[in-house]
Amino acid sequence: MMLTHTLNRRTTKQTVTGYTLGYTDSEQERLIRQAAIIGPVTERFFRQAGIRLGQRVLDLGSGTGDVAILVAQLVGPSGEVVGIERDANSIAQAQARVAEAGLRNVSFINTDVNNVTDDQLFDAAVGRLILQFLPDPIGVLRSIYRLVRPGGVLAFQEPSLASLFPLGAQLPLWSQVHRVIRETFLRSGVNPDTGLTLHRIFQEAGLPAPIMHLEMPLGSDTEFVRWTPDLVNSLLPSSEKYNVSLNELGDLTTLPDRLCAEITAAKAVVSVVPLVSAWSRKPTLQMKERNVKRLR
Amino acid sequence: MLKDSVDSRTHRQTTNEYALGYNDAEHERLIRQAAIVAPITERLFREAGIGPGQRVLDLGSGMGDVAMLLARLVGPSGEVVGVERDANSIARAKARVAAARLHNVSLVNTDVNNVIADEPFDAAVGRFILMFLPDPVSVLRSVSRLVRPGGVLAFQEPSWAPMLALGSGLPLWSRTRHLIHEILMRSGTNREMGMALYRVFQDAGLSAPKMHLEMPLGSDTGFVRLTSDILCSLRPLAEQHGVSLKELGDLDTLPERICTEVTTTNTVVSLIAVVGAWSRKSSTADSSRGDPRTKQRN
Repeated sequence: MMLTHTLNRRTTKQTVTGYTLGYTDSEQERLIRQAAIIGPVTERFFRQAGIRLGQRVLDLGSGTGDVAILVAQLVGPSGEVVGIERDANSIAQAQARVAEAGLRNVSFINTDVNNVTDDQLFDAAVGRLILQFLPDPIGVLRSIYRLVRPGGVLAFQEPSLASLFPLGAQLPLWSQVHRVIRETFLRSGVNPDTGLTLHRIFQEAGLPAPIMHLEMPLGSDTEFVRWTPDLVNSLLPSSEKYNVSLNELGDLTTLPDRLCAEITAAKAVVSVVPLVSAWSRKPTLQMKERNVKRLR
Repeated sequence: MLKDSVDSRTHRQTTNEYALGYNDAEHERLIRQAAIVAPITERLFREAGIGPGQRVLDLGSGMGDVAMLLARLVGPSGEVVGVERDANSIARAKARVAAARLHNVSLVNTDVNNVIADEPFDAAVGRFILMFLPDPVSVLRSVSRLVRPGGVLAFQEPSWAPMLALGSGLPLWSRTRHLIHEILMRSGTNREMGMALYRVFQDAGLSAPKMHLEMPLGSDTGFVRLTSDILCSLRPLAEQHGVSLKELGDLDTLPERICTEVTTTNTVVSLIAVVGAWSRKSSTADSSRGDPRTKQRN
């Protein structure tokens, strides 16, 4: 794997790194289930950031297409969504889902987020749970920034796994599982705490400091609870590769049931991925001039 | 009936003071905090179905920010009754309501344990109030009796844990937060009331609430100061409970030093997490006795 390589030499092309959670059917189904829970959080965020009817929006790392579909509904038939995804199978599934939703304003480009070019500027560039996987999120954001018109919007949602832990401190099994998840992410070169660093990432990419907040849906029903063992499942190959032991979790086939039992007994709620939202507007020439005057 | 059920606990609860005090600085802090939390609160109330024409009870009104927000949501055909036990706070809240030209708000000077109403409410709400009560379950149970069947109970309470887990790399900021947390803990405030709402609602005979957590993030001076100002409001309690603030240095310059630390590190900090929970009172007969074993699960 070239990951450590690219981490050390950030200027080299990053197209060689794989998606840590894999491209299996079960991972794609997991993404769709996850999207159903966090969809409202993303939609509210995009509305707040000013994404609206008629706009042309770039979606980075489309996966199975949930964010692209959401944006397509926000921008309406007079708007347009271009989704970027490097995995061909994911694109096929995303396209099928777009067709099923009866949307005609979404297209996908099968390429790496580092290689996006377009002859027409976008009103906005967005992404959800994508920068955390990239060895050089600043470099990617900087190049995407060039594709957005002055006055346009950059809006990203990334996780803050660290904020999730203390909420389940009274749940020993749940805590154990999350330690394994976190460790696997870290050893795979994924930063599951990218969320809070968006403040710095935006600025280092040349953007104004973003407006930010953190949100988590909470629940105790099966769909919420299964998010955790689902993640373990998708991470299995990575856990093995980086020698993260899953022994302490016991039989993985009974893990969802045991987690549910623990959470029910404690009358607790748990969260799926805590999302940090950050958005910023690309300065127009006038805004820049005003700032220069202010500095004088 | 309402009074009977709470009498046994009344004397214990009413002697418990509001941990952050009732002085002018605390009042100003509450108003500034309210401006930041307002959108989160409004979203919870809308999601819970609070709207035009409704009659809503607001527990622990303080400076009246939640009551005023509700007054706008229910409109002129609706009505808000706010309950607050501190007379000075009520005076202040009343002046603010008048300045906002809201004619549908009344504020009652009483303890949350002693609320009596001739007419049932469509909803009962509260923000950062259950955390200060020694017996939130019994208060919620008695308040839910004042709500009509099918009506709403919606509360927002804090969770400190996620905030404490974030923001390493800011030593002064971290020390300040931990000391605030320590003082609140020693004074019997439940810092994790937010996540506990799930259990509290059910123990009070209500169905499992829908829940959501939100944390405002920011780096500007006004935002960062909200936290250091909590410490100022807590100074008398720190003394009372023997929590030394010496390690923070000169408290007069503390807000400034924290802001400098945050700015130089070029990072965002968080407010406490705001956990919202809402549930609908069962529309069949009297559900207020709510047996947890027969309660509906979702």
